[in-house]
Amino acid sequence: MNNKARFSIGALAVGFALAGAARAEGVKFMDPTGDDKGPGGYTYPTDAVYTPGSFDLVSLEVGEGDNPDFKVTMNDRLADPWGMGVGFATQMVFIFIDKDGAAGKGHTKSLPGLNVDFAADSAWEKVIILSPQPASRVSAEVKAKAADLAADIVIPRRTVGAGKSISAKVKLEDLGGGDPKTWGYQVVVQSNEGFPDKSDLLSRKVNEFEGQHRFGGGNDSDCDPHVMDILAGKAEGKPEEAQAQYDMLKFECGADGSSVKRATLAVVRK
Amino acid sequence: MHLRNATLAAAVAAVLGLAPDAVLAQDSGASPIKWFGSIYAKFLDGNRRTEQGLYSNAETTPGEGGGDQGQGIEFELMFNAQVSKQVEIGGRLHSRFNKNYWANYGGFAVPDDKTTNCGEDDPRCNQYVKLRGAWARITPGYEWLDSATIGNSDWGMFDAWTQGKSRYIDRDNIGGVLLQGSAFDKTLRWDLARVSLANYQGVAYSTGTFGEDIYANDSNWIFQSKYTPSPNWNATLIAMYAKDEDLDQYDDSNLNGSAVYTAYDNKVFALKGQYTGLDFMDLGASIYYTDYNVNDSVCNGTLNGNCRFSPVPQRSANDYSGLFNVNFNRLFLDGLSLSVQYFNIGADYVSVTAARREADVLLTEGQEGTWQWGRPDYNFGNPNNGNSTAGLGYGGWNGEVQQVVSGMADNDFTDFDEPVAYSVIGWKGFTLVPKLALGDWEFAGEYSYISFNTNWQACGGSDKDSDCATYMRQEGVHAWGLGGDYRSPYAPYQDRLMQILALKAMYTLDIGNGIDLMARYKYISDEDDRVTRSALLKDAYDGFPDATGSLNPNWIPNVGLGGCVECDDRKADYDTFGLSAGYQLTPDLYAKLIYEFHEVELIDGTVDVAPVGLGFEASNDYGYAEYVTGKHQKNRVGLDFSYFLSGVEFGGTIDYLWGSYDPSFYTDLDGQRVKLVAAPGVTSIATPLGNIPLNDVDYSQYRMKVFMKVSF
Repeated sequence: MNNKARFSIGALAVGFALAGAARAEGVKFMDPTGDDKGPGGYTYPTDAVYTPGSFDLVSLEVGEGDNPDFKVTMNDRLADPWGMGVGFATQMVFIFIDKDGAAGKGHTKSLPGLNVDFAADSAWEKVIILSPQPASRVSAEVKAKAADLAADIVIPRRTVGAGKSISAKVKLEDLGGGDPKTWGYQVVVQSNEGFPDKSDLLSRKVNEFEGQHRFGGGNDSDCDPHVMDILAGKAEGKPEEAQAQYDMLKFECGADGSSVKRATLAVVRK
Repeated sequence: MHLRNATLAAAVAAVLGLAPDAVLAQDSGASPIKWFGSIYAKFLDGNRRTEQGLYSNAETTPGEGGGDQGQGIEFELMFNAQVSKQVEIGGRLHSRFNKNYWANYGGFAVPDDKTTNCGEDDPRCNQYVKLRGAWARITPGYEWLDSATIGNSDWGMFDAWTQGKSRYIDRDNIGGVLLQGSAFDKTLRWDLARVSLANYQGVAYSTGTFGEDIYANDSNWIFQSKYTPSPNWNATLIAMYAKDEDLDQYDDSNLNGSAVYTAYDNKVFALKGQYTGLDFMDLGASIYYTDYNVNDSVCNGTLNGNCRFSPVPQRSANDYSGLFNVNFNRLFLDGLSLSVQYFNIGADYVSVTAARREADVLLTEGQEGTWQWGRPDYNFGNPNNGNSTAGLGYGGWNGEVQQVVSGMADNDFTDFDEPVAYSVIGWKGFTLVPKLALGDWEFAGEYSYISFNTNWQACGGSDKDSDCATYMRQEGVHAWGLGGDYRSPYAPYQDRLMQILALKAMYTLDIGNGIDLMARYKYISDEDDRVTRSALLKDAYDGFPDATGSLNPNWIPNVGLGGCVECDDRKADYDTFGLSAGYQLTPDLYAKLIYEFHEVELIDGTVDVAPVGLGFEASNDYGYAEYVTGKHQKNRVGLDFSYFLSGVEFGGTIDYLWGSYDPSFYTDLDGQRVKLVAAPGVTSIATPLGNIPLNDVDYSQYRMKVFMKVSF
């Protein structure tokens, strides 16, 4: 192959890429950096793949149209040390959607392994799972561990990571239609665990002490929220929203590891 | 008293028999032992029809080899338990594939009565189960110490340039002691470890021969401190010291014990930092310094001597390496990002415990895995070519390349669908990686400019035989990429420049469940002028003392090449086109159809030139060096699939590859390289590597790997 042909291929690709249309405006929620500590004292696992900021939520952006883009941005550049092939590996993100804001409609329990509930007036109708695992694997896990919620769990057919953002397109009809700008959202940042506990939906445990592949600062039982970062307050990214998050994720465990007070989440909306 | 200290005191008291049972029971924190694991079955088929193992490749492990036939099953049993509030334990038992074919009947049915050749008591074939790792983790509750872990680990808490994540078939095989602590509200975290050196992590792949020397106390001490005072920046400091001690052969009395000497020691210091406080840009940098000292008595100091095969140099060396990363998170357009990396890896960078394959230290995607099979025998297809048959065949690897700073890049016991690792010691240059997401389209590109700190003449001296004796040669035959070697980064004469251009586009077509389309193009220019001054040609090509009986007797050497400095140049142009379409056929089943076309136009010097120091490798029966000048074309049609049910995963790749090799020949004419046109009736050309037929060679390969993994 000669150099002219190679140059032509390059020029064609660049021109094609730059010819794209402008993006539609949607809705954006912000979260302060440095609050990737769950209820305030959680710590990262000690393996080098869990780089600082990799579970620190910065923003959620929701696009418009029939196939809106859901984009979650973290405070560290994404990496793929486990060869997942989609541009990220260690993160796992759940986007809970409260479409109507009506108490008593929707689910107040969350997904297995997260150990959080939702307030009655923040009951969710749909949750989108952004996972680096193949959609088939996530789907199989949902069937096995969250079959009662499966109808409201949306697994995008393709989730990708680029730069600091994890994103996926979801058909509006899969979310039951409506206007995403009016919905309430909660983003739960977790870690992708390829070898999850039998009760966990591909999420990583939080224990009292951090381990090589385990978060620390929680409890060895399942009375603590297994959540590293969420949206809180007005979701404008102000520093005081960190404390709002810590308050929302407060929990209490009994001496035997049972849950005395379970962390209860609220959604944010514009 | 702090609760944890009180608990520890109670535990100690309990051990000493001083505590009432009630105290122990209340604070024990014990939980039942948890058992979990997996069953993994692999099904191989292919037209190479070799039965040397249930994995595709084992080129560099003596006595092993790759295979493409048979079925086998592995069993892995893991456990952990919280023994008390302060103690947690875990471990893993694992059987190993190797040559563990179902048809062996556990070794009983192997048609060979030699017990070291897959008989019933050969552990490679009899479904043996082995302890892969065990550990105890103690969390005493001290202010200064978070935990102490004693036992096996993959050591992934450190980094790939120092104590890299380790692998031996699977992880968790290297043992050590790890202390971890923190301060300042966990903003400062530290790790201190003593990690036993694997026996191969020494000069000439040995830290001491069992029964003749000592190796069991050889270790690497490593300290790492990470400081993360804010979400905007963090810094890491690493220092390590590895040492191999051997018995002093001159100590002829053991009245005062046995004397030892240091065979080698290896110090590595690292400083890494990251700043993410700017919205539009992130910065990161790391610098490494290595100091390696080897005892003069260990190696005999010749180019092809007793330390030819070694993961570390045979003379002392020190050097720096560094990375500088700039990431633009939004560049001009929404959805457009750009990553820039400058890298400079010293030619004398030595870290004996650096990652061998489970890391990729550079941003560039590097060369294509399909050409990394180092010993392709295109010319003769000789079934007795031992090293050729030990490799994974004409298809090479399908996975990405993993670039490592180890002198022992490891691709043994891998399958063709896995990544391939190669050494990038000596690389310097920069990489640009733009990515663009536009609507339903995703684009990615790369441009890399790579020069080499190993660009030198006679290794920076004047006589290759003495000055290049510093460096290990391994399988290296003075070539890279196609027909090259993935372990050895060194050549006696090198003046190399590599450039990589890659483009990729992805689009999900909104039909049915969505068709994931991908197209890619990649071009690599890899040029090595090797000897650049005519006065050095004689030193470079002045004879081959080990070549007796191996070198082609019909070939006529042309030492000095008549002053033709371009006659030994290596020039390779790699073009790759790829298309794929993936579809979610059912919620459980995803399938992807792949087509790739690869082309290489390669000139590897004239036929007057033989690789520097070529000896026994010239024999086609051996297979370290093959004639590869000419045009190579390769097509691949592949089918990947994955199928998940709750608790079980099936996956697989089925490939059919076909290609051709059109050899061409160049010679020295009046001090210039000219293409050799064969006279009528001539059917082959005499080269150092045999009489190469003029005609095109067609080849094909079919290969299949299907696996099942059940997790329980």
